[in-house]
Amino acid sequence: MQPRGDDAARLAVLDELRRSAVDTYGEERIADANLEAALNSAATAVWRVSQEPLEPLGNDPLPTHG
Amino acid sequence: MERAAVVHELTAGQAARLIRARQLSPVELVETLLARAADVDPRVEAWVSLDAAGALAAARAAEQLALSGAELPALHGVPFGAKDIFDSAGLATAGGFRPYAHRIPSTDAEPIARLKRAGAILLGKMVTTQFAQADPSRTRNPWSDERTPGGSSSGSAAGVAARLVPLALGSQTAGSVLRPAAYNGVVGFKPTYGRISKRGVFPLAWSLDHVGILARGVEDCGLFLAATAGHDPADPASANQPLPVLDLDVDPGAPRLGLVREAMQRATPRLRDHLLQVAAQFESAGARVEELSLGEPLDLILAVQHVIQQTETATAHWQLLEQYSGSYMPRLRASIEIGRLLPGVVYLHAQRLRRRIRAAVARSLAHVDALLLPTATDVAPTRETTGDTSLQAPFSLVGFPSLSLPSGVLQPEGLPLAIQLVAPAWHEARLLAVGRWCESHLPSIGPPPRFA
Repeated sequence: MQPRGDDAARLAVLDELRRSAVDTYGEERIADANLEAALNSAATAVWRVSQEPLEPLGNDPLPTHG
Repeated sequence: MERAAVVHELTAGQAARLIRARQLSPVELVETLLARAADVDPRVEAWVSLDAAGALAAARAAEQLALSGAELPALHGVPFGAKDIFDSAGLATAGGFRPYAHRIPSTDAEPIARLKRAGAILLGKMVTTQFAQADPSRTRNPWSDERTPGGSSSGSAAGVAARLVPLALGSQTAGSVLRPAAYNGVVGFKPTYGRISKRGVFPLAWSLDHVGILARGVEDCGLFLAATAGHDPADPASANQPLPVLDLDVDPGAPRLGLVREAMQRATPRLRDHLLQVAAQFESAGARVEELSLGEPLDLILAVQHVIQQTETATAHWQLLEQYSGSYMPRLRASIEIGRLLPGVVYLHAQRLRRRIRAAVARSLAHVDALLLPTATDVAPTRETTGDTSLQAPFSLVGFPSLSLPSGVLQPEGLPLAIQLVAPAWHEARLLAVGRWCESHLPSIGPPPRFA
């Protein structure tokens, strides 16, 4: 997934996720390059998924493959 | 005629026929592959461990049965390997995780048990990336030491390519069967989600994990499917669906193929050119090829897959990570740590979107026999990564069966190229028939030159 650095909504998701990571794991751990990469890709995915509208009261919260 | 082939070059189907005709001894076959492992594996590192004593004992028993004139099962005497996330009775199963180095299961994972019931012989365990995630393994690509063999089924794909074993179990959560197959120039097949039991297989992300196979021909994928498919009430993800009716000897006729627009846009120009060339070849042989869309944006499909996989992986691993943080590979550890922080509503929103995506991909398949696209965006990259999952992951997300076939060798790099075929859920028979047709119209790329 390509990062979309100029998207304010994506950056807001990234900020929120980073704050949560700092609270949970501390500043030192957050400086790790792998953690930073995981943060970035997760923020992009969460932002993209959250952007997509669905009927609010639709059913089927879980997948089936049948 | 087949007997003229070098024993280590035999496919599973060829070996099974020769054993049935009493032209090949299972003992000779196992001894040949053990000798080849000693000779070749130091340069590939596909095997974690070999069960020489167990495999030879099973081969001797198989030989006795063959000589007795008894009716033999489909894979009688054929050796196979298993990715080291499949439990194997009496053999260490570690999943690339040091604290599990001496973990010895008392029973076989269900796919191994079913292959054994079909007469196959477990030769040993094959290297996996840690817990089938993205940190590169030690295995080398037999086509080039500088390139990744892909992952996570690294050892399974490289071992089949280097002619260490004809058949190897793998697993796919995003792209871990088909992508290594493409990078190593072998066939990779992942049946529909729920078709094959995962009992005794380490989970990575429950709703995405599939069992698959690495082989050197479509026929062998059919033999694997026939041996392993079927409902397992002890696996909650196993589906109670009618078994596929496979008849790979029947000429399926030229297929209708849907060339996937989003994949062509995502692939590198050289892969795109290769696919167009292959599509033209198929058309000149009678296939109908039309361009179509998956029906949902690829970036959305990949985002949904990412959220689901990362959340489920974190759920599966976070307690173990707290216990053994120093033993986790860096990318897997980071992914679990961040996955724990993802909001539950986003995970469930992704699961709802997944249904919509699944319906869209099913619609795009309504008027063709199979989708046609590159298996990977490019040839195998260098070793610091296991490669790009973006063209395999959509079909792990929707759970549809997919098949990767070697389709050429990129020159002057000398690296394998591959095409991917996808059919609707539960249509493995159709997928393998189309695969057989395509295979017959593609050049055989042969073994990696260094291992010929």
